[in-house]
Order: sequence, then C-alpha cells, then structure tokens
Amino acid sequence: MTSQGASDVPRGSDIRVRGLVKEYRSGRIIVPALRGIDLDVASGTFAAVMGPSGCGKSTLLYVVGGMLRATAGSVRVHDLEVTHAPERELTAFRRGRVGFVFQRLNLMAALTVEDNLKLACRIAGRRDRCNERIRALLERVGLEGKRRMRPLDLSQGEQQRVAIARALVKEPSLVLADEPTGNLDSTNARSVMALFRQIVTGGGPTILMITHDAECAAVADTIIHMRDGAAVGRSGVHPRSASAAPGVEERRA
Amino acid sequence: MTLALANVLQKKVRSAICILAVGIGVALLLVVVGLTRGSIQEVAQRIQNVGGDLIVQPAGATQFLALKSGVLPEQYAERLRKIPGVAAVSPVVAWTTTFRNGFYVVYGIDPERFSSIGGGLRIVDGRALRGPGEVIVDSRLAAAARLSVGERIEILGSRFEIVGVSKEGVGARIFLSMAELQTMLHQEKRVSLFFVRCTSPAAVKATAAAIESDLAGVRCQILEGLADEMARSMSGLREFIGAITGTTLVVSLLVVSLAMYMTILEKTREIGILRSLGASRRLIMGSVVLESMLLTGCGVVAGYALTAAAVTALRAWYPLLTVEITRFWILLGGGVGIASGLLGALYPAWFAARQDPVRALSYE
Repeated sequence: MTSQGASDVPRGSDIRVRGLVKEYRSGRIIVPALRGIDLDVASGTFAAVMGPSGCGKSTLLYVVGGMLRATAGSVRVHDLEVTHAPERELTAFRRGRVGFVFQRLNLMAALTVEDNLKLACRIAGRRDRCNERIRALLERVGLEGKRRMRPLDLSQGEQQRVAIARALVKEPSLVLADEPTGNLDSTNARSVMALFRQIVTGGGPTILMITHDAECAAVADTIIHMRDGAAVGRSGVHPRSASAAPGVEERRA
Repeated sequence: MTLALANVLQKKVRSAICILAVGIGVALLLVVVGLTRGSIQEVAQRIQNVGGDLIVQPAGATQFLALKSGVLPEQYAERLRKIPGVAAVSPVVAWTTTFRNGFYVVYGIDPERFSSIGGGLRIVDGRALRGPGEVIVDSRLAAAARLSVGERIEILGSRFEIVGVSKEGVGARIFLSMAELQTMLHQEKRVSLFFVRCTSPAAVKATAAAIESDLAGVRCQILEGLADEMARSMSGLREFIGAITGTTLVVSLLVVSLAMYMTILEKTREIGILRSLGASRRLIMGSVVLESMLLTGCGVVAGYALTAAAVTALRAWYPLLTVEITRFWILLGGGVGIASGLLGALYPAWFAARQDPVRALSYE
C-alpha cells in the first residue's frame, strides 16, 4: 500500500490517514503497532478493518478516535488534525463528533438504558430534543420497552444495541466500533450488522468498524485488510451500497 | 448527579459502610465534645445558680471548687461582710465523695447564710437542714439513685438521713451542715470558699478588687462567664477536643478515600467509557467528588441521628451526665464530615481523571 499525496485526497473523505505510525514503549523495548498506514474513508460510508489479532486494528481505531496519540504521521477527521490536536480539542472531538461502540461491558451498569443514553446527551451538551431522540433510537434498535431496565438485565445482543443507540444519540458524524459483534452469537451479530447497514443507508454517520468476522465485514461498503501494523489491501465495495459510497478509496502496494 | 446517585445506590453495602463510618466519626466528635463541654457547663451553671456575684478562694485555687477543702479561715466572712460593695457572704466547705459508684461534690453549708446569697436551696420534698446527721440531695441525684426523704445513706464514712430533696442545679448535689463537714474533715473553722453577693452588678468588679486588696492571698472569681473561664483553665481541654476533631477528620477521610479509591478501581472500565464519550477530566473528577459528597452528606445526617440516639441513651443510663451540643458544634461536626469527604475524594478523583482511556477500557 503506497502513500497518497494530500492533493490526491478524494473529495468528501471523512477520515484521511497518512503515514500513521504508532509505537508502544515498555522501558527500552519499542513495539511497533502501526507502521505507516495510509487510508481514506469517505463520508457516509461503512468501512470495516479486518486482520489477525495484534495487527494494530484497535490501535488504528483509537488513534482515529483521539483516544491514543500517534507516534508519527497524520490523521485528519473532517477538519480536525487528530494527531496534533491538544487534549482539550480531542475531548471535544469525542464529545461532539464521535460515537464509540465497544466489544463488551460498555454501558454504565448503575444506570438504566434510558439514563445511559441521557448521560451521553448530557456529556455531549445535546440536551435539545434529547428524550425525543432517545425514544426514536430505542424504537429503532427494538428496545423501546426496555428503557427502564439496567444493562445487566439485558442480553448481550440487547446491550450492544443500547451501546449503538448511545453512540448515535448525540448525532455524531463518525461511529467507531471495536469488534462490536465479538461477544455476540451469530443471530445477534447479524442483527447488529443489519443495524449498522441501516444507519449508513439511512444517511447516518460514517462507520469505521474493527472485526475478525468476515461475514460481518462483508456487510460494510469496503474492507480494509491489515497485517503486522500495515494496511495490505482492500476488498470490493458492498454491492448494496456501492452507489452510496462513491468516495471510498484505497491504495494498493 | 444521576451517575453519582446511581453509583451510591448500586453499591449499597459499600455506601452503607462509608456512611456509617462518617456518621460514627461525626457522632463521636459531637458526643465527646458535648459531654466535656456539658460537664463543665453544668458545674459552672450550678455554681452560678447559687446566686452570688463572686467566689473568694485561696489565690491560685482551681475553679473546680471541690478540689481543695478547708483552707480559708471561717472568720474571713466577717471581714468580707465589712468591705464596701458586699451585700451578703456565705462560707462553704466543698469536698468530694463517692456514693454508689458515683463521684459527687458535697457542700457543707450554713443554710441561713447560703440562702442570703441567692435564695438558697429550693426544697421540693422534705425540709431544710436543721442539724447534724442530716443531708439534702438534689432532685437529679434523687431520681438517678432512687433516693427519697427518710432514707439513710452513707457518705464520707458516716450515716446520714435524707431530710430533703432540693431542686437540681444549685451548687452541689449533696448538702450537709458546714460545721459537721468541717468536723468530719478535721477542718474546724476553716472553709473552702465564700460566695459573695454584691450590692449591685455595677459594683462587682470594684468589690472584687477591694477584696483582693484587703485580704492577702485570696482570689476573687467573678461568676459571670465562669464556664468559659473553667474551660480555659482546664489544661489540655482544647488540645483534647482538637485531637478528637482531628481524629474524626482523619478516620473519616481515610474511610472515604479508601471507599472512593476502591470504587474507582472497580469502575476503571466505566471511566474509560466516559472518556470515550467525551467526558473531560474535570467532569470525571467532579463526578467522583460529587459521589463522595453524597456519601459524606448522608454520613453527616447519620452522624446527627447517631448523636441524638447516643445522647438519649446516655441520659437514660447516666442521668447525672450532662451533654451539651451547641449549634456551633453541630455545624462544625457536619463541616468535619463534609471536609473529610472532599479531601478523601481528591486523590481518587485525580487518579480517575488521569486514567489512560484506552487502558481503562481494557481493564479487567
């Protein structure tokens, strides 16, 4: 995969990664996690990142989401240069523009389903029509009857749908999902993927998803393959959304 | 607020232990201070209720009147009576005794002269002292020890008949004839102190000065403000109360700090989630401190309830004890509790806010 010059960046690109390097240090030992990745994800598309364990997928996701600092390179999300933004800007970025979905135990156990979503609204400062949005989202994820329940009273699949609703409640422009189906059975995994597909098709945010599961990845518009901290290729555009993903780009070695 | 409250309610056992620990600290402070101050206040009030304006004691004597017995010549009464500004003088022999496992002050009085100071004893049952072998107890001791008129009791190795019960709150709890107590103590014609009533409140200071000038080696104590004077003169009292306050603060602080620290370790992953949602460090710190404030706020309320229960129990089991808890100490006790919550939460809150969000998310 070659680097792409800034002038070659396609219009409407939501995420633009150039020469991204991330190294973890443990004393004198340096462990490279990302070795100069370039990639672009177009606005309003669903991209999946696949690869074996330890290849740097989650690191990529966290750097894009402003949770981890890159060692070198550039990550631009919308108009924000994430790699160089100060902590306060990154916090504001996560607060207002990014929704995260994690693999497991990603809800506040002490709060009800509804309060989990309200908390996200409050943190994001999006109190306007908060209850209305929560009602609509819970209906959309099929949990309108469980809004007063606590996460531990829900199945794993239901918990993950609540997490997706929470990621969406602040109306972000980007959803970053780290193995969202990793703890789910195949039925629930398909249900979550269908939900993601529906979100993107419905004009929702850009989704960047990490997954091991080829079946889940196949739902995405594009699949970015990673190995040993590098992006090594891309699979084709999802047929159902080809027209909705004109800006998806890849660079092959 | 919702998250902090939900956390408090979710971890019921942790919250209950934390609330109880703060509550016990606050109650300990209030009860100990209340007992200390109450005892001093009560003693001072009883002395003041005798009705005089001054007490005359040997120079350097303690305000705790029973700690020295007959050290002044009884005939000083006549000399005092002649000093301008003095309206009435009553010599008193003060001593202490143990009675039914209690420690009591005994006054040896001349009933007539004692009455001339401020009305004397108000007998509520029986009659006044008339001669040897008779004793009067105050109503609080009578109620606590279930004593009644006509009963015979042993005091200072002699047997006495209770001839009267006086209204509580004047001087001592046990009264007998001054001459008899002097004989028993081998202090004939000697007394512990003199109560002096002045001709007018305006004359008190001048009279005190005149007495001290006229009678070498005596000290006049103005009775107004005696409680404060006694508290000040008690060596180490302030330090004792300070130590109790400090201990309460430190113990509550440690308990709150430990509880919040454990909570934060337990909620590491949730902190990671909050960071991923865009919560600032300040917000996370605020959330931890708020949770701590909720716990300590409940702890302070629990402390007040425990104090009320302890005071009720003390009054029931030890009716002669006086517990005085002023508004100042109630507020201070609450303040110490809240301060412990605030200080105790600071490190855990800082620790929570400093968590690396990615590491927090992968915390098992």
